[in-house]
Amino acid sequence: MNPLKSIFKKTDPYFQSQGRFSRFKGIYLATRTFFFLPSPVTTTAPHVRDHIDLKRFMSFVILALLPVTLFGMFNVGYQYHGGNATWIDMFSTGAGQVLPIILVSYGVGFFWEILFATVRGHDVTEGLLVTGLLFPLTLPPTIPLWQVALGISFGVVMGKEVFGGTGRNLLNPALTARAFVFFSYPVSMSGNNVWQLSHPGVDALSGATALSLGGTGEIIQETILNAGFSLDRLFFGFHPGSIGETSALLCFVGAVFLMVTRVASFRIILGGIAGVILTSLVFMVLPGPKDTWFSAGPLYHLFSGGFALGISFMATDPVSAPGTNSGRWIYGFFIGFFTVLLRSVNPAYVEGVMLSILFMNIFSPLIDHVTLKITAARRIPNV
Amino acid sequence: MSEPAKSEQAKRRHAVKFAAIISVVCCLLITGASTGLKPFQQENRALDRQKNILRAAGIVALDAKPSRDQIQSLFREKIHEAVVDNRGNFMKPGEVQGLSLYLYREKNILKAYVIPIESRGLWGKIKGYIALEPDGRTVSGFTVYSHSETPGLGGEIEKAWFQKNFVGKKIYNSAHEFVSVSIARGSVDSLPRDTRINHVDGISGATLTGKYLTRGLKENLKQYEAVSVRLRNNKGIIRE
Amino acid sequence: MSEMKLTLKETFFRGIWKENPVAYQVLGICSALAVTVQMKTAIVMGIALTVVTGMSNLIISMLRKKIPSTIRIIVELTVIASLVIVIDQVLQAFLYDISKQLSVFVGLIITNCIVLGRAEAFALANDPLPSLLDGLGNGLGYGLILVAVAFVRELLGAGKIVGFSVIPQSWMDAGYSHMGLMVLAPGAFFIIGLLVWLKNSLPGASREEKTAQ
Repeated sequence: MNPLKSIFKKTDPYFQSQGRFSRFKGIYLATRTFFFLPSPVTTTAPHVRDHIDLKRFMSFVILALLPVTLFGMFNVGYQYHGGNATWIDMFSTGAGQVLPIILVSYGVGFFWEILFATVRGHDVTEGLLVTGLLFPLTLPPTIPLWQVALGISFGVVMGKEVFGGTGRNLLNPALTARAFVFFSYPVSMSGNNVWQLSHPGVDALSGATALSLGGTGEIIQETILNAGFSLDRLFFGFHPGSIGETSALLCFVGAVFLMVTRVASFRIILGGIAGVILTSLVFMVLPGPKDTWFSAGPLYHLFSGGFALGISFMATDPVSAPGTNSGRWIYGFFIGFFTVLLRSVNPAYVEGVMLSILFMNIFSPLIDHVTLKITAARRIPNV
Repeated sequence: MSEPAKSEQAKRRHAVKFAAIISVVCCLLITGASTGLKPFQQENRALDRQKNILRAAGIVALDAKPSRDQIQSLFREKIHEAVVDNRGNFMKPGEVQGLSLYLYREKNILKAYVIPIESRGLWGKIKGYIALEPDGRTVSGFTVYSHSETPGLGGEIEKAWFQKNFVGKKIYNSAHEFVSVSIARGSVDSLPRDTRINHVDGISGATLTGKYLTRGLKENLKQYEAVSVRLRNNKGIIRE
Repeated sequence: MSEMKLTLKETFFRGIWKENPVAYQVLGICSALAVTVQMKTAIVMGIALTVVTGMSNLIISMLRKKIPSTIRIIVELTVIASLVIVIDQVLQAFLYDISKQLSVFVGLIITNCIVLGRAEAFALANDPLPSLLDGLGNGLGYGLILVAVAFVRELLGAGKIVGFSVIPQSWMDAGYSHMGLMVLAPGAFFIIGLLVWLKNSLPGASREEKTAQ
């Protein structure tokens, strides 16, 4: 027998309901299922209706996030060196900056998760594996680590545990954490120079993000181009921004993977993309300011900022998204709509993705309610 | 049948009588409080205004808390209220409707003149004072005494760090044109070198407040442009 | 009289903790969000509301046999409004800076449900002395929550306690910065929510004698 398995087998009775350490059953189960398949299938929400359970479900998301994370590390180094270094150098510089952020996020997050699981006597859930990685990806690489710790604490406790834990939360915990840091420490989150590490020797690319441009009197597309943000640069991701948001390409690759494996709802993702395209097209046609993001057009809106990351990985969180199929279309569409709306007409918040997803999270129970009512009313009554 | 009707009537009469008594008593109470305390309130308001004018003129430090007597004596000694018409001619106060401003004199030499500012903000009106040096182009101080901006973001306009940045800025650009003083988006260091003197550091996360205040400052300063021009031509001396 | 007989002590302390108007009855939340950025304004607001609830309960209880039931609410509101206006005038006269910061919220005590609620629920049915104590207790309970919320918000949001800086400069140099969320209204929501959570999970929460001290 596998030696690891025998250890678990031996210690198992202590953690069962009559055992000496039954209080710590949550920690025990979490450790065991980290190595082996758990025996019981999903019993609480989110109810993944498939042969895979929540844990496998979450590991698919992690898998889809890996390219984004690795590229994020590389890009942080790329921005730092201004592109003038070996690939290894750039990657290791970036990893040295990003890995501590991820570690702090996981460490502090698991502390709260285990604390609540122990006090309440429920199992440690796997949602944190995703939350703890998603949250750092939405942050600028220069974020102080203590703010990461506070942010993930807020996200896990106020975004999830106060509602009763995984499966009962109204809001996406990773975005709740980001919103907390965003409103608490605006200087770390929305300054012009927070998006890249500063390098004393190299006068690298500008530290601002494409979304903070505009209002100069020039046509917006020209302003963006002149600042060095060509469409392909935005698409591939070699520009300053939050760790995981820069490469729209890799985010969409992850999205396709999740859609094909049916982990993420294609309705939400496609609905969101449709929302952005339609809204930005309408704004382009409307007589509005030509020098702001109001008339930037669909491609710029799709590829810049955190939209690709948000719609692929956060809007599709099955807990905080609607459960009905038609509801998912509506939900996705409005996320896209509000993203463009906030970027265009509210320059106080240059990035609207976070707020639009959180906003629609709050509406998703209502969307479910309404779509169910409509479906029920349409049904031909059984005679 | 007449018995309950009568008591109904009596009840109604009682209600009216009661209401009348309560109203009279409450009226007396409020009127008493209001008139009795009025002198104190007016003094407070005047003091608050005077304090802000003194701060804008740079007589009192932005974060200092002068006592009542200090404010009153400083104000009486150094500040003179004046009224100008829209061509910059000084008029007798109270004579005609005109633009009011405050002159800061030290031993009869003009040190600064203080212009009241009323601007639109993100959520409500921003009221304050801006002081200019007698050369008619240099800002010597700026204060805000009333606003309803978001605390921590736009609300930072009432903080000393923000207001200190105005000191020494010019309302004229290098080509000697009136441009007013603007709130930059982010730090002024990101602007072209020659326009930095016309900008102050913006507040992170409060782009709109900055935008409205910039516009408001420009409008207000423009109204007083005639005075500034006159001062500039007369080398800082004004004849009233 | 629908309520059970309570001792005077119980009448007074009930409002402070066990049936606290903010944490238990969830009343007066609007002003609790607005005036709790600083402790100074929270304390003044707490005192103002305590005076108003105490006085209005006392007056209405004394008049309770005379007030015609048809115009009951109007009379109560008239009394409350008069008291509030007087308080507002006094603040403007003697505490001008604070009254400027409290702005409309002193005037809005009139619409604060706690005041009318206590007048309706208690003063109309009880003797003047218990009514006074009930009003004072509820006002102080409101003030207590306000001060607690303001303490957290001022400490985290501005690094100050009652206007005195307590965060050493060395912390600021080391990269500490104030939590902007605490200065915004949602910050107060979170703190109030956490306070309610804390109150409900305290073991002695249901026993007022033990917790009121």
